[in-house]
Amino acid sequence: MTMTVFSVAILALALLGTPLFVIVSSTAMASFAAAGIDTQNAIVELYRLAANPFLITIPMFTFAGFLMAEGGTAKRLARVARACMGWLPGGLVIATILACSFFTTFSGASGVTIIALGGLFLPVLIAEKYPERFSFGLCTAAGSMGLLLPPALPLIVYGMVAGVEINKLFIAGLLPGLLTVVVLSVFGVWVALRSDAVRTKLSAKEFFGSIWEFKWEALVPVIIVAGIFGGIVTVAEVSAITAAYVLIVEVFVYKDLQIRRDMPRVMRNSMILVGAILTILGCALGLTNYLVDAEVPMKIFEVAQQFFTSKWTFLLALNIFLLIVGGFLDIFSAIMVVVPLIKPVAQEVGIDPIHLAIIFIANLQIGYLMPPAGIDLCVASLAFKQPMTRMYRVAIPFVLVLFIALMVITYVPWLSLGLLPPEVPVP
Amino acid sequence: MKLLLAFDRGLAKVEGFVLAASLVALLLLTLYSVAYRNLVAPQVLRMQGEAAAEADASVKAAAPVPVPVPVPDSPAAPAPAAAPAAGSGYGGDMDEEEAAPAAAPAAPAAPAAGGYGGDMDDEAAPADEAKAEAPAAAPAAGGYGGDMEDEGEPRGQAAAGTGTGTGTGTGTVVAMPPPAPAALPEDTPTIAFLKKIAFPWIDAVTRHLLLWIGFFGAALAVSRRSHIAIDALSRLFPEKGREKLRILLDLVSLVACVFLTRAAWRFMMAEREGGGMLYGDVPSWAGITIVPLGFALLAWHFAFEALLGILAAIGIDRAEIDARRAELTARPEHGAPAPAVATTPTPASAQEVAP
Repeated sequence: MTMTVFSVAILALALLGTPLFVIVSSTAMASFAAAGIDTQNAIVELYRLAANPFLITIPMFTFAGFLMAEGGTAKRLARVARACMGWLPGGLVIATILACSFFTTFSGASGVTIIALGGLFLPVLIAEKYPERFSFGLCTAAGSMGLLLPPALPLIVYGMVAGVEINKLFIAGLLPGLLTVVVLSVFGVWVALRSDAVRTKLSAKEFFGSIWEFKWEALVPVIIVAGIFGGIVTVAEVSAITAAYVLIVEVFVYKDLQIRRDMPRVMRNSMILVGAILTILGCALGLTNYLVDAEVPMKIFEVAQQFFTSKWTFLLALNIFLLIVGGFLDIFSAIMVVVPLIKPVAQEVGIDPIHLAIIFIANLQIGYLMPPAGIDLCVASLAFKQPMTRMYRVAIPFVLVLFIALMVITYVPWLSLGLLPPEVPVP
Repeated sequence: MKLLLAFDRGLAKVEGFVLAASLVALLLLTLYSVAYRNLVAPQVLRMQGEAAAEADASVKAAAPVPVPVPVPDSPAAPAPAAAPAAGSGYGGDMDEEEAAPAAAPAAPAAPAAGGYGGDMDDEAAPADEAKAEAPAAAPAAGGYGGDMEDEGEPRGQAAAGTGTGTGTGTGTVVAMPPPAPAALPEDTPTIAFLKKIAFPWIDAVTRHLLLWIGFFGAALAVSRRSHIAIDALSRLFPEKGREKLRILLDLVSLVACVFLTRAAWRFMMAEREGGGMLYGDVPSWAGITIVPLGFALLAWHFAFEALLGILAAIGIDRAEIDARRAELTARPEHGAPAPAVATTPTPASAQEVAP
């Protein structure tokens, strides 16, 4: 009885906007107390988080992303993307998508992309006579591209929560991430061809000049991909190298950031995000441990078994469920709340944990564009000064197009698993 | 009231400073160990290989002796990781020389326990991947996770068991005072020096710096409303109602943080009685101090926010409180993006314009 009251109260508080780590940790402590286990167990798990060798990737990649976001990366990125792509039919669309993917991958998906790059591309898109609705939709939708590409923060957090190897997730996300980019680009080109959008001329000077200006930042993804695939350094090491490299590039090469003036702010702001993620991560691990102990996922599975007879129906239900979730929760909350419950069930049904991770992120990526509260919609409506209802409407075609990509990602597991190296037996 | 506001401002400054300092330290230390592992450690191995070629076979025979063999009842999963690791324990530099190049891509766990504390955990990362179900097991090899689980895990489940198994098997290599110089008298001064600058404590320090960053970042996130929350519903509230709602939420968070502080305190005390060692002479409870401290900080911030909310609702110092709030939430940040000006290209310049 008290437990029911408590659960209802907790749920209500969560929906009203209590910090999620408070919700999760109170649930964990109450569950431990109810089971007669000392509440310090919730802390044990949190402290154990520090022993996770991947943990360091979160502050490091976040710091690198914030450095790039607060430096002049957006401007250079927009320039190079336009110079290289603008002359193609629909080239500006492709440029927008590529630039946004690149930027989101590093800055994490907090809508920064829309503010930084959407503001740069939107006026140009409209000036070059792309349909207005399409332009708004594109700048909104492109803000969540790139979440599947390394080193996107959601992949790392997913790996930590679900206990999946993060470097494998990075590799698995490559093809699906590229697929979403390609699908969206094809749609963009199609729209461009049917409208009277103008093209810019290819200028060799601008082409090489922009690339030359961008060269230092262009090396960042090279470092990361080489680090992950090369196998010489670990993911944790790559993250530290990336952070140091970006720091040097932004401060000493481009001189966009000054140590005394900007560094304290950038560090503080990036680490606030890290703190918000780490607290809830630590608390969520405590709760997960309790849930597994209490065999809650098994109970859910027993119920689920009655409804889903096959892997495919389960996946379809999962897709729909996650799309709805994505419209309410931001990606980190969604991962931390839903993954511990879904993962064991999916495993029973026979879905590869890595494939599941990719499906998860791909879904939540679309969830960014879903009403009522998809993050991209909210940010875009603020940034472009448009009413939310208008944002709902302009996002619809993009949601549909991305849904096609999602279906392919969901039902073609090879896309996620094909690049993974075959299991090496441990000697 | 003014005093409190000033105190909070000062505290925020201190927290920001600690955050920045921790981040810089974390970055430098990690880079150091990356450089050490990838540049210096192979060099040491090479030099030792040369030295070993001249050494007599008796050293080779002695090598496996000091190896603490993993407990027989440890489950299958960590065993492969522990086995090569144990084989290349501190005494066994020769084995290591043979094992490391061959095993580098296939079983990164082998060099992991090669006795260089610095590289220990970086390498433990892939080892951990081999058994994702027990994420704590591999890092336990780092030499401090193991200690913690020995005492601090009253439930003693399978994961903790493996953690302890590998932890004592390999982790002690780091935690113990290095026996190597005695065992290998033929270490040249260069090798000895290079070994010395491996600084095995770096790993323990970076891990705790992560916690410091986490808690201090979280503390600053409170007043900026940057904590991750489900805010879909609260957006529907009118501004007035939202302010009152916030007071309630802050109070709830305060209560939760007080309980968390208490639990963390008890955890620390239990660890203290257990008397485990984190590294060298540093007791393991000292590393945990950040947890109760961090939650206490969070509790303070929530209490302060609630107090300000209540005062503002009654109408005391309203102007000052509003000013503070506007100042803190002016920046576009996660979850609460400020209205951005579409024409300003980057968040950085948007910020310069905003104040």
